[in-house]
Amino acid sequence: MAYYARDDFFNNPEILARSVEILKGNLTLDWRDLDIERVKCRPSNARRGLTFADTNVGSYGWDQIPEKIRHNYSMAPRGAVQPPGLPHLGYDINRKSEVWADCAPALYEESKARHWIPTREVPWDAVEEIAHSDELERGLAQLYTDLTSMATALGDIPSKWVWRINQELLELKMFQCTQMFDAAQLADVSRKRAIAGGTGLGRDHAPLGELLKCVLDSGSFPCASASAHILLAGLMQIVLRHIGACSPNPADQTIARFGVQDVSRSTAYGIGHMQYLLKERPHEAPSLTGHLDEVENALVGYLASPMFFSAIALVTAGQRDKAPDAAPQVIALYRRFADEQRERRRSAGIGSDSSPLEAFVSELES
Amino acid sequence: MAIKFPSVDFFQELARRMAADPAGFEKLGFCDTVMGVKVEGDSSHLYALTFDVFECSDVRELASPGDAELDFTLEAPLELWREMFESIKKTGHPEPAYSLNSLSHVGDRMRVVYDEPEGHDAFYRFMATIQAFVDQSAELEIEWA
Repeated sequence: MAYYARDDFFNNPEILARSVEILKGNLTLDWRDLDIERVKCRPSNARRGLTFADTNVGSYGWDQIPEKIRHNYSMAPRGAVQPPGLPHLGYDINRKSEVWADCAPALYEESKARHWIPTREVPWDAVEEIAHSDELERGLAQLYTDLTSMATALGDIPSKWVWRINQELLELKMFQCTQMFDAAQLADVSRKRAIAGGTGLGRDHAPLGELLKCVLDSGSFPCASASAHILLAGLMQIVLRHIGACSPNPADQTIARFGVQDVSRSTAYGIGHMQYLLKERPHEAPSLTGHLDEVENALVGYLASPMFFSAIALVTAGQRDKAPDAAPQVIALYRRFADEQRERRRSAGIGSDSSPLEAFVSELES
Repeated sequence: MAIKFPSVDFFQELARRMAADPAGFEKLGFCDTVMGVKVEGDSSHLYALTFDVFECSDVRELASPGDAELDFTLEAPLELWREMFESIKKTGHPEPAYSLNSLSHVGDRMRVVYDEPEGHDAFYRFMATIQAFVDQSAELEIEWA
């Protein structure tokens, strides 16, 4: 244990005496005397309900969070009275722009509202009646195996950082909790789908591990955010879209449709985060760009890996003997992904003229 | 009574049906986006559909894309839209090749046009709702333009 409370409460006779007095009915009620802002909040849309945006008022709102948080290192919810003596919780992310995106509160509400339950909503019986070949199923199982690892990493990123972020940024932290749940669920459904298909899970492989290690080992939250939310979530989005477009199975169609919506909230946050950060601290753009180029280098290793390239080609072609003919379609998929990544990076303010992904795809095309 | 496609009436009828099925669309969650639907043919038509919480609250035909702040626009020839709606008509859901995801994937049969990537990602954030919205056409008798 690294922290011991400042009093030995159990052995403090004053504590016991005070408790006895309360049990006798001598309540201590001075905590009710508050000099605090009173506001009225109602849902701006009755069907949406009372959202974070509806409570973004006065001292309770996120608009008043300063760029540098110096006034609260405790677990006190923003706007609550903070008496002297609150312990310092040890947050080391106390700058709003380091984590904030203006879209985060709405994405949190959206995540809750669009929650789905793969355990019941995926038509699992359809997996029993797979109309495609064992070879296609083997390819799908490999992609789902990769997606399981990717989703786990996508959940590890917010869980690695959330406890270090100042409690004042609570809407952002709540959004990170939904990211963790969404990622857990995507890992869960990917794993189940691979196993349920009958061919079992596929192989792990070093190029994927290298990519995920580069994402997970990002040295700051902005670097982690750019690599996880813009690059990794973007990759997961297009792999899920591709599965949905190639597999005729209703289970895969359902997983793709709902999985895509979950990872797309992370891409929205990632872009919004970079935009907010670089508006406040534009000098950070070069280091973030360099970091993302480095993670893209690992991404190229993954996209070029024989296992991923072959699995994508097999899923695209639908059967092994036609897989070599699918190479142009795989390159077209990579081109689409590279274009989308370029657009996201540009919008985020971290576009790159030396993007390894762009160079790799251009080389393939030539 | 047949409803002409493309027309404002067609999309308004889908919006009316969406409002009449709160349980179905509340289950899919909030949908907040303004999307364009472009039907290309001898005379092209562009529509703006505004989705707000659980409803499609506004349908308008636009003279040009600049007349509304569209997050993204789905563009396809009339013939493809017809194939998609006829596929939906068979079972209430499209065959896999005619889902919005499949049509808009790499082959570019249906183009997703957008100014900013946030708009493009909005299509994927709300695709389940938009697919359910167009799937309601299964119950319509459509008169093709």
